[in-house]
Amino acid sequence: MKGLLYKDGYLTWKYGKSILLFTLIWMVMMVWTDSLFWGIFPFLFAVMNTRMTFSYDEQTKWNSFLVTMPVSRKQMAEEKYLLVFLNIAAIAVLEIMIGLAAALFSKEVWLTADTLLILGTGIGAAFLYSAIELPMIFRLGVERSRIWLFGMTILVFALVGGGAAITQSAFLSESGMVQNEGAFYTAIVSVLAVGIAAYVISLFISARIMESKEF
Amino acid sequence: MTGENALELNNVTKKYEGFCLQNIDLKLPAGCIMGLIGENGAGKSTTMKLLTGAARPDEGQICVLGVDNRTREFDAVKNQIGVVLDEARYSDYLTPKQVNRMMKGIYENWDEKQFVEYLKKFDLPVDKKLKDFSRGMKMKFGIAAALSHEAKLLLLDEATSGLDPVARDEIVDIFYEFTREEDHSILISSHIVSDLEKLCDYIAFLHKGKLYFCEEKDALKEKYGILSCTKEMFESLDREAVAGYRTSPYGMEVLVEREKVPSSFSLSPAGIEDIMVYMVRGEQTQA
Repeated sequence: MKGLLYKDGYLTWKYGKSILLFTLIWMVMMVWTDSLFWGIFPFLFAVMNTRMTFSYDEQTKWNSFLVTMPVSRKQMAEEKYLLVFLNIAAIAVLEIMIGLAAALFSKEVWLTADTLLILGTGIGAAFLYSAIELPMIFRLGVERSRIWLFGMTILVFALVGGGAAITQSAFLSESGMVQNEGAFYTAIVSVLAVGIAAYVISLFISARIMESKEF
Repeated sequence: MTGENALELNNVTKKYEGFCLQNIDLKLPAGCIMGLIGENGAGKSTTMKLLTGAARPDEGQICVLGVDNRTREFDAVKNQIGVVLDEARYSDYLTPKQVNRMMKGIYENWDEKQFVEYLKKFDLPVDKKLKDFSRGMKMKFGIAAALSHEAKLLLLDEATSGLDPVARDEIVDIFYEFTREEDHSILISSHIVSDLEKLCDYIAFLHKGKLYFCEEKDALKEKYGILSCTKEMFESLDREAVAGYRTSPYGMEVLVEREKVPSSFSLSPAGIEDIMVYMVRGEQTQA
């Protein structure tokens, strides 16, 4: 699996550089406009970046060759899930670092309720979206799943983003202070938990799809 | 499965819409080279897919290097199998250097030194992206990779297509070299029958999803001969002796089994390509 991760890591990095730039721009937009919307977007791109590796694979019919190598079909699925996980983690770390830098610059506390809300909902949405996306791509391929995924991308991120905005207005004061800590943190943890649980279940589904697939 | 066979297909059937590979029985003894021949759509690539585990048979059993290829154990056995498909399947955005790093993480026995030597031998650049390689360069690259992880079995599906005759000859020599180790075996499918004629110990002929024969090449060439004759002479022949024929304004050319025609007949030697063409076209004429 290490070899596959190296290949996909390299291909992801090709476009990852531009994502870094966009993440920076969106974070500036988020601070400037005081809207969570911008902070959640980089997670969407982290997920889409992984989809591009599927496109490259399909272009060269890579899987029909990979299946001849000492890699199990289950590992073929697991590698993509690990790649998504690493992409999401990278964006989370990046957002924390940017948040930290912004806090240092403005001499404010960096780990605010706002930051937690963005990270929680962004990561949760990314896992939830990937949980639906990955089995569809494994089953249908990138092209055939594209139309479904386009609609779903907007739906998942709008739902989670909208939920985050509601949470922000319901539980946070204008100064960013949490008004009802219990409900606020429960909302964040719930989104994360649902996303991660769906992601783990999805991995088993994808592994089964790959086990029965012919190339 | 015996330990003496690198490959065994026992009564293998695979059905697709509009095509069926039927009851294939095939054995490749370890240390031998077998050529898989047949026209387009005969089932060569399907057979390769079944062997590598990319597709699964509807019926029958396939053993590769002594292991049933439907078992989990087969994943480890794939360390000992080198595969070259009809086109290079590596990402165009990778360089050979990057593929080397990738393969190190995939194959237990990946031999970087060997890989670099093959790249040099084939005159392939290390830092150029594969998208800038010609088809021939890509095929050579695939062969270099297949030979760089101490494989005991090579499965080559049209691996020499796209190569010029000089490069093909060079590759054929490398395959020869590979089978010097007595437990090294090759199954190669190709349209270029002349390559197979040079290289192979056994020839398996697939036609419309059926295995017509799988025999030693030399025995095959001894078995068949071409008889040039008139129509009247053709009609007097034992039908059992005729494997195929062609008619022309000047008479007939008939692929016959030497043992089944009178020894007084003068027969020309039949090459593997002749045998294949006569059998396929002869059948069509008779129908």
